[in-house]
Amino acid sequence: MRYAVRRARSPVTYVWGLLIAATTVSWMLGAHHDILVDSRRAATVGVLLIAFAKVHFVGMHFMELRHAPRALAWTFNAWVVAVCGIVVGLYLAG
Amino acid sequence: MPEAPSTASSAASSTAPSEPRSKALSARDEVPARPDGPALPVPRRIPGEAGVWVFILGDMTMFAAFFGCFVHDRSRHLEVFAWSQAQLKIGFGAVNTCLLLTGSLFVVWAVQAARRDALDTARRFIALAFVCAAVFGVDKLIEWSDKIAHGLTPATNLYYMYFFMFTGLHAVHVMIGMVVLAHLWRLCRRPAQAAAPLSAARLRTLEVGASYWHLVDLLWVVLFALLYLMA
Amino acid sequence: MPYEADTDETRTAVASQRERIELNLWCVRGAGRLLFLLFFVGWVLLARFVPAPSPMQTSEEIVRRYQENVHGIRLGATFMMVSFCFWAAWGAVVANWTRHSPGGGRVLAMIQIVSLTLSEMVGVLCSFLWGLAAYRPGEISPDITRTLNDAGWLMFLIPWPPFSMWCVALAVAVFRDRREGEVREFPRWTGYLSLLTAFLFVPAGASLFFKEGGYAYNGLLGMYLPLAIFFIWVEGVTWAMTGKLKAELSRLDRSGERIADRISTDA
Repeated sequence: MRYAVRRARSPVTYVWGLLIAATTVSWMLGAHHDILVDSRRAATVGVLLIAFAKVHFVGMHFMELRHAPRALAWTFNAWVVAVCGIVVGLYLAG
Repeated sequence: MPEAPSTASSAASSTAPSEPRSKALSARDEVPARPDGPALPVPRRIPGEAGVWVFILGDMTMFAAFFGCFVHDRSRHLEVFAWSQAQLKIGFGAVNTCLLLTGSLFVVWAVQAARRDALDTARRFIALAFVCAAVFGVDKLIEWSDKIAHGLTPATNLYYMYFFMFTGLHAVHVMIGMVVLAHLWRLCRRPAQAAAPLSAARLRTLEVGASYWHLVDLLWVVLFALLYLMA
Repeated sequence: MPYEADTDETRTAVASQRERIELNLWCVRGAGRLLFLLFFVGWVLLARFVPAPSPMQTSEEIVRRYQENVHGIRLGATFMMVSFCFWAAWGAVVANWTRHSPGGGRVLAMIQIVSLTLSEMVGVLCSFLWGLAAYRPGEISPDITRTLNDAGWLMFLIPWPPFSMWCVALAVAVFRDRREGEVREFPRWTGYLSLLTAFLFVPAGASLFFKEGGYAYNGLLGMYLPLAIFFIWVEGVTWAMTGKLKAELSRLDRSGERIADRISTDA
């Protein structure tokens, strides 16, 4: 229990909290498209951006890429940016 | 007053951390060596080993092709996709996302505990992550049975083909992840020579398994957005 | 490379060691490249199967496609057929190294040999069926031509399990070898690459169930990805093995007398 309490103050737990909050926000954007933003397209783009931001945080903090050689972290983030761009681009173009 | 150093400091620090027994056990989560001291800069190293990143990045690329294909086809069959998506209960997806994120948190805690040689704690967290995965599996089965009971199968339309194939392949990833977690749980057993810490090789395996688990998590995060939340 | 040898016996012993390494090198590098190049020429350039025909096309459209490129498809099938014979040479080296590596052994080598045989047969059969479809397009019922075309594509994709087993057998051999560094036959990353490849073949099986979308036999996910990953795997493992063999050659050149094999290259 004491160990869990000590862990609870570490940065990773805050990241987890942020990710859960982001999931809730994207749920709201996805379920009720007009609750936070007016247009559906903006809501969907928001959902997609949040999703890839979550992937970035999982990679950097959970997978410990912050402490990895830069080439690896950059390759991972390049994937995040590229795939996000492709998905958002295909969505907006369609 | 010691200043908090940048966590993004690079390169190997010449001052060795005072606590750990071996390189593999060096403090990586910046908890101060002394209660009032600055966090120590950590040398950069590949989490797990280089080979597993070939696997992880390759798997991510395969799923990137899935994502692109899905969004491309979605634009061409918008009504079918929109209608089909409306039949889904977003709650299932959201709960699953939170389950996997929590499982990932437990795995991170387990690795940190193992590094500090708190092996029983590590095993407890691995078991909790396993439980999260199992609940995810059950939730998935309930959702699929619900869909099939309403006559929505992979053969129904293009959307449901993607839905079942993507979530199915991801579920296989989760099942493999559960096998990996079970293996890690066994690995964290205290070795026969009492009070010996985990060997560097075992810690490396632990990190490899943990990285795989986070991969499973991050793939689901995108799947949730694409399958359940697009408008 | 001139080297000093004390006796004729030593010279022949070293020469045969060098020959063995060079045979391995030819099989791995030469066959590895040929199996890709010939297939590429046959499938892409001659048969023009990029973009692949769609399962949703009518029989008439398929017959027209075959008639318009009848010579290309027949020649392409021939080139493909030739490309498959090189799999034996490439796979044999991998299996031999597996057999002699501490993590491998006879069982894993045999699994690889059987899987590779089945995989090669799959390739031969699919190019045969495409060639057969191009044998009399227009002279026979269009439905028969379409069925033969379907048969070629499904034969290309449905038998993915032997391919996956081939990769898994290699991955197991790589991971069971717990040594570190240069003495390993296969670096650890080839094990991970093999596991990834085994996994990426699985969607090919979905092409039996879907006729349109990403998982059809002309789909990105069901066909192009598994095809690409196969060649990426072959080239990746080839690269690793070529590096090892070249290192062995330079060790041999430097010492000039009979040295113990670091990796087993014997036939």
